[in-house]
Amino acid sequence: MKKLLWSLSVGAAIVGGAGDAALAQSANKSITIANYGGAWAETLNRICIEPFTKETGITVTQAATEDSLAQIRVQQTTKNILWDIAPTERSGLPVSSKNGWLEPIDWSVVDPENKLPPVARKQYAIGAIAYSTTIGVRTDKLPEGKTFSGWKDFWDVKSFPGPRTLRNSPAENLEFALIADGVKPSEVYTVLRSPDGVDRAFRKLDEIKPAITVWWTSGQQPVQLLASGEVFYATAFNGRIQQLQKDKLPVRIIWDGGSLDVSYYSIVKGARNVADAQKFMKYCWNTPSRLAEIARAMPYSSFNPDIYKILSADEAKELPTSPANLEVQFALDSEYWAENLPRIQKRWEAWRLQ
Amino acid sequence: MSDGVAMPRDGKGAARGRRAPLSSLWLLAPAAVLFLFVFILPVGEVALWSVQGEAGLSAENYEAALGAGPYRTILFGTLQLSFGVACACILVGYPAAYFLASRPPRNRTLLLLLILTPLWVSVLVRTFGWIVVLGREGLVNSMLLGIGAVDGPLQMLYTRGAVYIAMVQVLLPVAILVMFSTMTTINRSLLMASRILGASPWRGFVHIFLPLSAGGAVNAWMLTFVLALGFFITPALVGGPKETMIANLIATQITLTLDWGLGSALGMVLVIAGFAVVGAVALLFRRVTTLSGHGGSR
Repeated sequence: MKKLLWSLSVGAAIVGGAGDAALAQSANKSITIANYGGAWAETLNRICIEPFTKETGITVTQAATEDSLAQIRVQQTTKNILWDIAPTERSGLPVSSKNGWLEPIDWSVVDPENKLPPVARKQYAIGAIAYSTTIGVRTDKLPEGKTFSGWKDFWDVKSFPGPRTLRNSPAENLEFALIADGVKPSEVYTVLRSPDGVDRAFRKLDEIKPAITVWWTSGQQPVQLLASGEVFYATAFNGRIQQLQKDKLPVRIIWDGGSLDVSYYSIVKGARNVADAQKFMKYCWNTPSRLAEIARAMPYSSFNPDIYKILSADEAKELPTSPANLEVQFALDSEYWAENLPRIQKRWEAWRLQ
Repeated sequence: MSDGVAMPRDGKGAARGRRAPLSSLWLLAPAAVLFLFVFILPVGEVALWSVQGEAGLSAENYEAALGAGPYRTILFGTLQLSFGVACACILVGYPAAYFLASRPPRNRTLLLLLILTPLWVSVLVRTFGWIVVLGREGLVNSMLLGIGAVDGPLQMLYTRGAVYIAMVQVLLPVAILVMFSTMTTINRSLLMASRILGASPWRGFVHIFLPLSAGGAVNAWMLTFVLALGFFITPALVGGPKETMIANLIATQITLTLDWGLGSALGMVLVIAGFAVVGAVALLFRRVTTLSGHGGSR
């Protein structure tokens, strides 16, 4: 159905394209931002889009997508560019930059004071916020008198019995397996890149496989599984686990060995309104007051250090980029995965079927 | 339908009857144009992608899709699962359709509505419903534990059984509707005549109703089988790793690894395998399908 709507809209865009483009050029007052919809889209709308439109007169349209990279490729190959800003996290950024599907970011507009660290200041993308894939633990299911502290315990089914869930993806899980095997979070990619690294990770995954009752695919699944008691230990996005805590469920979040994943946004090549897209990036994703608002609304935080001047210590400790949490996690290496995912994905499918 | 015109039994007449005068072919034009743009051209493009290699035409994507390895296993698993689900839909749906068709028309509407209601609820929601019912601390387990029938919770979710239950539930209304519509065209006086001539109700059913409705059952089987082939949300949410469907793999290639060549090849293989199975079934049951095509109302 969604695909159908999409093709219809592409069709409509082709028919109406010529007229629209002319109109947009004369007015030059609109941008389209693609994102993953849901609560994130609502937060963006309230904190950034509405005030931005009020102040500048530029209308901002949101477009929901679930497969940004594939859509970027389609728009580039058909030369029918529907988006100005698109999410390019994970392999999205390296793959799209390599193929020349993105416009370079003008950092003199987006980050004139040079506040962002390199991880958020890429040639073709801004690291808008970061989220973590961490362990969520049902504290009421823990064995008496034991504290659960990280990946070693996740793998220790004798001391911590009970069903578990991991994401159905080799990315992150190979890293987690290596940490469980004694590798330091800061060294996981050095080990993964070594000749025996991937084999070592799969060997370690063999150990935990019988305890994984389900391999999750969508973000809401692991928290649903935790909430219903289907599993006792799960990997999940930090914001979703914190939502469970707000709902008063006995759940704890383990930052140790978490995977910090940057939510990148890029301007796609041939976008109709590059200049205003850059302005919006600065307005929404590099203004401390708004970033602090976003972090309060959802526990996803920016790399701009100034937000911790605004947020209280209590608020800060729940955020993936707070100094204490940053230290114990590793940053997902999207370049490694862009290069190796196709090869490892096949091995992953075969391994899961065994 | 029951116009009393006798149709020849050998099928030649049917073939002659099918030859439409050329002048009325334009009636097909709107459908043909639509079909060309929304089906033939896109599928043709996908077929092209699937044979494009680094340098010119290449069969590498098909080798990857069909060679020994996870993709072939998943393809066979998908065909097997869809086969089983389609058979289960017919076994469960046939009696229900029979019951419906034997009600007086006035009562049917309400019953049909009851069968159709689940179709209005999204597949995703229905699947999550099964998670609630079959879960570790779900309805069935709480009940079994409550009456002391089991010592610990049974693992029902993430098994093949759970996928069967959930997929059959989703596809059953479709199967029932197809079989029901064939059954309503069966002339009930044939059954009455058999009773008058001394046949038992069971014999009447086996020799008259069953053959006349078999075509509908075969059609329903083919339809549910093809629909099941494309499933991926349900098996991903309630099944284990062994219930991975080919559609999940295709989605991974299109959106994650961006290997559109392999994704296209997997898609083409699925289309061809689907056609092959449906074609084989149609050939195998040609006699019953043609029988019910125009035999039921005579």
